[in-house]
Amino acid sequence: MSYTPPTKNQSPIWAAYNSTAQGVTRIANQILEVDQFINCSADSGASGGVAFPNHACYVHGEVRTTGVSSYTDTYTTHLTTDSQAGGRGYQGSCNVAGTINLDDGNYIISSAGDVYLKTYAFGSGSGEASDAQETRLFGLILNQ
Amino acid sequence: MTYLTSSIDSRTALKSDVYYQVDYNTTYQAIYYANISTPNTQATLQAVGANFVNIRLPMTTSSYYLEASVGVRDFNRNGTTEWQFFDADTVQYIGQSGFMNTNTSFGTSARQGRRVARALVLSSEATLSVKTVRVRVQTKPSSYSFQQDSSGLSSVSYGGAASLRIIEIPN
Repeated sequence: MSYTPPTKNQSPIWAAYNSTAQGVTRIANQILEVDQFINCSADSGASGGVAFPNHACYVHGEVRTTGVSSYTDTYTTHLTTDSQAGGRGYQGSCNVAGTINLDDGNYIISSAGDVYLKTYAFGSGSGEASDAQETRLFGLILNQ
Repeated sequence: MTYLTSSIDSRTALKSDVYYQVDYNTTYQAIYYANISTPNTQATLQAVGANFVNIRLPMTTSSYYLEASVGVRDFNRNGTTEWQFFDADTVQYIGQSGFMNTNTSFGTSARQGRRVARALVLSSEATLSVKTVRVRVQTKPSSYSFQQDSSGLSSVSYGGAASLRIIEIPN
């Protein structure tokens, strides 16, 4: 007699996003929250993150913003695996103008845990600040 | 008789690495990347003196999706730059180039979008067991700089950091 057990084949690709404007984000280390989850789950601790308790992940994060008139009012973002800690991996810049242009995505290889996209640092301008309009995370669960 | 009591959790074995851009060689038009101690993929970085960094891709068991952004500063805002993956075996550019224009399309109040070169290197098309590629800048004005430090673009606050991303797709 042969027996073929059921196979659960899970996609390694996941995504999380927030398509609602989150207001002005001129606060250092503010979490840019995601509230919609595809093939992943919300962190049960601090809100706005994605939980991966058992797997390392390749993570890409990005934010769409509006309301910036000068590059000195822009902010950079980073991904972190800790809701309170500083940035991990490679941060991106949003709406940089004037002297620099840069890819504005954020990329890390995360260890098992939670992943957040956060604001990181601000320019010195006193004008209007950036408003996060949409936040997106995308990633691959790594088979290690 | 063999009997398995639990279901099998099958997961596609995708792997990925992210490398940090650190320097640029004007003569060879080559972007440099910092190595990482424990890569997840089979890909390795091989520095060739001070000239450039080769990305070595074992092709027997995997294909690769590659992406490269670059950190650029151009205080003169006077031109464009284009960068692309370069196949050192066939001596030709591969994939889709990345492009920036700091003369007319620098930042505005709207999101600028990602700027990235990309290439899909397929195992089925490989003629060598190990393919060698690198990231090269095709064109740029003399005022462009690609040098980076630990916080991103050298001497520019809040510039962010550019990276090379390698995703390994097993056959």
